[in-house]
Amino acid sequence: MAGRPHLKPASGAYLRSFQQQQQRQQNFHTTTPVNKNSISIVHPVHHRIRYKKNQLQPAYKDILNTPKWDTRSHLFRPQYTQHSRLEEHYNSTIAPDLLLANFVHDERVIPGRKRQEWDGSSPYHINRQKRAPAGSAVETPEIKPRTFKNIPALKAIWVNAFVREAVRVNQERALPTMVMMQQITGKKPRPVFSKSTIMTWRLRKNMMVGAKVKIQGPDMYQFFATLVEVVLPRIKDFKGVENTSGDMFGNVSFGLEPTDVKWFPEVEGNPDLWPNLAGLHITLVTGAQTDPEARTMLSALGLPFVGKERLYNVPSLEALEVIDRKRGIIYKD
Amino acid sequence: MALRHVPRQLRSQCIWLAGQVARSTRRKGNRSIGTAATETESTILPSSTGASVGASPDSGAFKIMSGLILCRQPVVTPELTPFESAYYNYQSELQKRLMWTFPKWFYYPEGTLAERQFSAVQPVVDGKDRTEFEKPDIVFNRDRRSKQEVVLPERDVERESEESAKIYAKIVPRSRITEADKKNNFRSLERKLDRTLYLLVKKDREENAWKFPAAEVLDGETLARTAARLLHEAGGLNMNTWLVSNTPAAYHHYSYKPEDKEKYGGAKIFYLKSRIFAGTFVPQKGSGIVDYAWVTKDEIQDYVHKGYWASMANALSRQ
Repeated sequence: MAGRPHLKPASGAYLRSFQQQQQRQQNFHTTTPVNKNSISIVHPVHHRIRYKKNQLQPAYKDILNTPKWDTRSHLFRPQYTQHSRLEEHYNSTIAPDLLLANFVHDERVIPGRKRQEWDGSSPYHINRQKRAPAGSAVETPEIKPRTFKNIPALKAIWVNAFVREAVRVNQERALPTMVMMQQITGKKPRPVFSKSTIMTWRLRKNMMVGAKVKIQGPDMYQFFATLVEVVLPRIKDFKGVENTSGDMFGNVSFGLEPTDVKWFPEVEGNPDLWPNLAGLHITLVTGAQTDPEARTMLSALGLPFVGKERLYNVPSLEALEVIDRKRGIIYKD
Repeated sequence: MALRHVPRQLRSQCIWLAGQVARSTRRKGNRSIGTAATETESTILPSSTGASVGASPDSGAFKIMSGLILCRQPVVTPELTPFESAYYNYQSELQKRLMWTFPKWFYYPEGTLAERQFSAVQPVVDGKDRTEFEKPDIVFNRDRRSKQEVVLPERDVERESEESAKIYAKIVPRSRITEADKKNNFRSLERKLDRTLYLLVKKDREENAWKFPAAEVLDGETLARTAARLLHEAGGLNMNTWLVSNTPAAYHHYSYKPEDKEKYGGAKIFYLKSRIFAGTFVPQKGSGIVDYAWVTKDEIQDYVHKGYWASMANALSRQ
């Protein structure tokens, strides 16, 4: 196998004696005896190993049936190694406050823009696929009443880097940024490859041009806390994330310049190791239904916002009146 | 922040509607206003908000009151239970076991003085410390059958600059147990730093003396206005507080005793949640408050009776 000389694939792969299999099952996290004609699967590997499920012996089906959270699984990764400070603060203090703050008495479902049926004026309307939504190219989700089940929370953070030097000079220029992303997030990023060829920019298809990583859970809260408490305060003239930065449905994005990235403790501690770094795009995926909700929740977690708000998805008086009239509520002026 | 998704013109009407719903039906059980549903299908809302919330000569009417759940949020991380400590210890040991080998070649490049110093202090890895039949699996000076021990070389304190000495100076945290904890001072905001503290006040009566502060909603006032007035009248101006929402967090109702039924037959109290960030609660003269205490959720049960606790418990944070 390329890149892994210490592991030898073989025609007799996965052939083991019953005795060895028993021994493996008794001790987890120990090395199995190295045989010439075998690949170790339960071996505590530091990287992925490909295996074909349909080629596994019946005795090895246990591997497939072992769930990820079981320490005997080769996919096991410890998640909660310490009490997550920010998550605890969110659960005990912020979430109950948000439930109260976002509550709207007698809230109704605000319909999103959905695909429309053809009116039937032509016989060709039968079985035709639905029309595009009115006023939008894509369908938009409906906004449901706020309950304890849909309190806005930080669900995931995407960290994404595009390295311009990788296009101009050498694809390998993207690697230091990828390693840096692994250091600051704690998770190994995936490379990003270009999807088109554009001669004027010297861009070819399938060039490695950057890296991306998605973090969730305690790693995500740790990264967010570092960002908000250590990195952002040290950026020159940083007042906050722009209020216009939402995607209308509760996700907020902002970027860090190459000069800002060096304030991460992992980078600042060894400045000589990181000579050429690219900036990062950070996307905060929240469970909020609208942008103002997402901003309220994120500012409760410590992320400041500046600038003028643009209120999408906050319905106008006329729109609400139309919805209410259908329910029998009439407004008298 | 409250009622943000309702246009401004409708907000006051929504509050009035909430009042109508609360007054018109006697609710058994102790559900908060959030679970109340409108009774009528077709309702005509008036344009003015002049509907009076006040008394009627009928003794069946209830006094509408606005209450305050004033809380100080936790200052430090929570105390871990023995199980939690054991769990986190186990998980972190597993992580160290599964961790990638320390990339010494990256942090201490070969041929440098730092690399020589680093290598000199690392423990010898020859696989002979384990008495098992397996062949040692050592890659990059790491036995992959167990977690890696990385030892950092001692800092050369003499040659260090002032700046780096500051960075490496040991941080001594303050004690999590404060003076107030030791003396059991229930009036202090520094007690139980890892828990949320709630304000309870004591009125001058025999039964049910301890409760959350509350005041009657007067004509032309909203719940939030009353709560703000109550805060100043009861505790003074020396507090930095923030009202979380105009939406009530808890609801409690009770009937007066037959001898007390003059104007009203009982009271309905809507509690608004507020947070205190700085300052102290000082009981003011004329407020009728004899004593006060900052207590955690568990301690409240010792102060109030069962029915009241049942009304309030769900509005209070676990930690």
